[in-house]
Amino acid sequence: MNNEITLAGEHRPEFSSAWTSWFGLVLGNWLLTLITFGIFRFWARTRERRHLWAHTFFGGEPLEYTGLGRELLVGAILAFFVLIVPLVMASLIGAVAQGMGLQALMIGVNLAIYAVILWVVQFAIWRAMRYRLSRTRWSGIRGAMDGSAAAYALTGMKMLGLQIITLGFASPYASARLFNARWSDARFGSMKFVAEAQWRPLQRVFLQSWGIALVGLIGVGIVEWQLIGPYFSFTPGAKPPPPPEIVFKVFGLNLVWLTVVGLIMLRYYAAQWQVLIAGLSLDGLRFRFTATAGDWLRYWLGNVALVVFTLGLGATMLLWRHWRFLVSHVAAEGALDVDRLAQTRIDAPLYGEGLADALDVGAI
Amino acid sequence: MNPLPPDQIKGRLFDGQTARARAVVLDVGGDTLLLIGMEEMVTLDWRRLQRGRDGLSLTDPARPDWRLRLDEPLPAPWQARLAIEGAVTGDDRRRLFMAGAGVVAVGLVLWFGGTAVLNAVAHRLPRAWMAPIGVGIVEGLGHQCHTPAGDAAAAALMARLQSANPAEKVRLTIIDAPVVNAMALPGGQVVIFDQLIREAQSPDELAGVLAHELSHIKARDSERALVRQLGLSLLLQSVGGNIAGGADTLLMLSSSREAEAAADDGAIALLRGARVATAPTADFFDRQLGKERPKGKAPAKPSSDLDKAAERLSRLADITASHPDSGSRSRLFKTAAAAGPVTPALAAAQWQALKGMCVAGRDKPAKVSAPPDKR
Repeated sequence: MNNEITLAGEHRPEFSSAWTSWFGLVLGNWLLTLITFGIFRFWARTRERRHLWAHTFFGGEPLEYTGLGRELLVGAILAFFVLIVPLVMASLIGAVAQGMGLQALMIGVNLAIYAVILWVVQFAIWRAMRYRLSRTRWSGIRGAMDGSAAAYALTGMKMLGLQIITLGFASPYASARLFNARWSDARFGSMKFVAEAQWRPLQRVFLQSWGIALVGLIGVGIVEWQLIGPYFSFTPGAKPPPPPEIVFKVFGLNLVWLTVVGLIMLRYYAAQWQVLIAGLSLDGLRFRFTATAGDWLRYWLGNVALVVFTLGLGATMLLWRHWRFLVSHVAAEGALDVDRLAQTRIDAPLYGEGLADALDVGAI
Repeated sequence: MNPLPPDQIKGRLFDGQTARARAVVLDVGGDTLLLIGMEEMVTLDWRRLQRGRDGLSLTDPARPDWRLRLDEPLPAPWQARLAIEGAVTGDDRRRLFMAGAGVVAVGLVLWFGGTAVLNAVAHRLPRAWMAPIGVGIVEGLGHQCHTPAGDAAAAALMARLQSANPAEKVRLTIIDAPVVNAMALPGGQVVIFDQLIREAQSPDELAGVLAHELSHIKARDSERALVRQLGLSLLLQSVGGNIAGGADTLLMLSSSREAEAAADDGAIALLRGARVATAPTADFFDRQLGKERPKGKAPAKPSSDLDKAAERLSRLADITASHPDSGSRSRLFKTAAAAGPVTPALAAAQWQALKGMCVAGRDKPAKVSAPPDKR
């Protein structure tokens, strides 16, 4: 009975999928995708989502994924014509301009291409979220998104500009603002998600982490320039290539520094998701995300080990592990009034997340 | 709690109007499904209902948000009688078959007619559009070498290989880069990297490489590769993802091998027409095969689709690419009988001018802070 969700208390979703059933599903998908020259991948993704959703229970009731492979196919074809073809045309114009010596036009075209891509990425994230919510059902009630992807994309561009101006120091503000913007558009049935994530609690840990990372970056940059500077030239072949021991040193330095920065930023990454999700509520339910930096680290190291020690075969389990990680660290406090949670009146989109797929920002 | 009669299963009913689950009992004892609620009793029209694969749920296609979840699976006779939700029906099978046939048909057309279509398009692209693209790619490759004597020698070699009145204007550019390679680019642009000229042991060897590239230009091979990469390949990758991209690359490689063979034939014809020996070109190929190809300090990492196209063009035109038929390739040039007496492709002075073209430009800036070369 789903009425347990109507009682005040802590509610945790459950994920009941056995890894063997997932593994079989993914292998089958992989085979079918192979023999159809890739076309099956839309149906493969749909089957994977249906599996993940169906094995996830909230308040004792399972989620249902109702999307169809052909919706994703139509989305991909549309994305080709509204995104890829115009971008190719524009980059050809840029190349022609360069060949004709019209530097200003070439730079203008290339800047426009970058701006459009950055805008479309945000647009696509919102659209993908709308598609998935509209294809998610729980207790007979569907999700939806109300609002405008274009408005969200504009906010995304503004936040990007802010981050550039502040050298990334506005990151907590930007991520909280964008999280709130898209989740405030989200609906479940007749209910509206309330997203009021605060950025101030994140500011201290971010300043510490990013400050250390930035100082490290500058230091590493100076050391590497001293190593590689004498061999550097804008004209290929004008100077001899650096000897292998120097290339090796620079490579090792980059590896060490990336690992260190990764570990430093991990603390912020964990805190960010805790704070963002803590700002999210639906009716009387207040959400929480409980993964600590240690949890994330164990999860990522587990992923690496799984892929390396199975010679790559373990990569088939990554999406399953990702989903399990998310589900097992989500909690909701409070109660949901199921009698007031009525069906949504917002029309569902007709086709899938082609743009997010084309830009590879789809995630799941 | 009273135990239920054996023909009754407890369940939760979701009407799709609110999220409230209502406790119901499903009576499966008779010839119909009887839904017993708190206040009412409804006979379900089971012919239009569908069951979940596990037999634990009932759904109704006419009311997509309505669902009945059962605590125990439906008895086997009912499972057999009800359609399975999401199962492949005869209709689906027909549609699937049509889609599969469509994919196969498109594949066959592309496999057998793709090159013809691409060729037709490539030969109809206006030169005024292609030339700037080619020039743009050439500009991005690196420093272009020029000396008066070197330019004159390059022009002399071009004139020797082309007829007195060439049907199309071809521009030859020497790029200062440590790469043994040459390429034919859209819009009649031929690029030869300086390292190739320096490793060539005679002007005849260089003439062979240049003749090969001129044949690519004539066949519009790079235009075809461009059309292919920016049109067909992107569409295939959009729909079919990495696997379709891989299949497309295989197709591209096979068609590029054909293009290479044709360009070799064309090169031999050009060399013969110009009364230049063909055997030295074979020597050049043999030497390049013998040593490891220089681990390409590629002039630019491919990032945009245009760069990728350029990379594919260069792969297509890669004179040192080790094709499976590379041995026969050298044999082809070796055995090509001369059509008459041959003379060197360039005079000794011209050849030296061409060889020294990039070094002449490099001396001044590079000497300032260049560390000792350890090689």
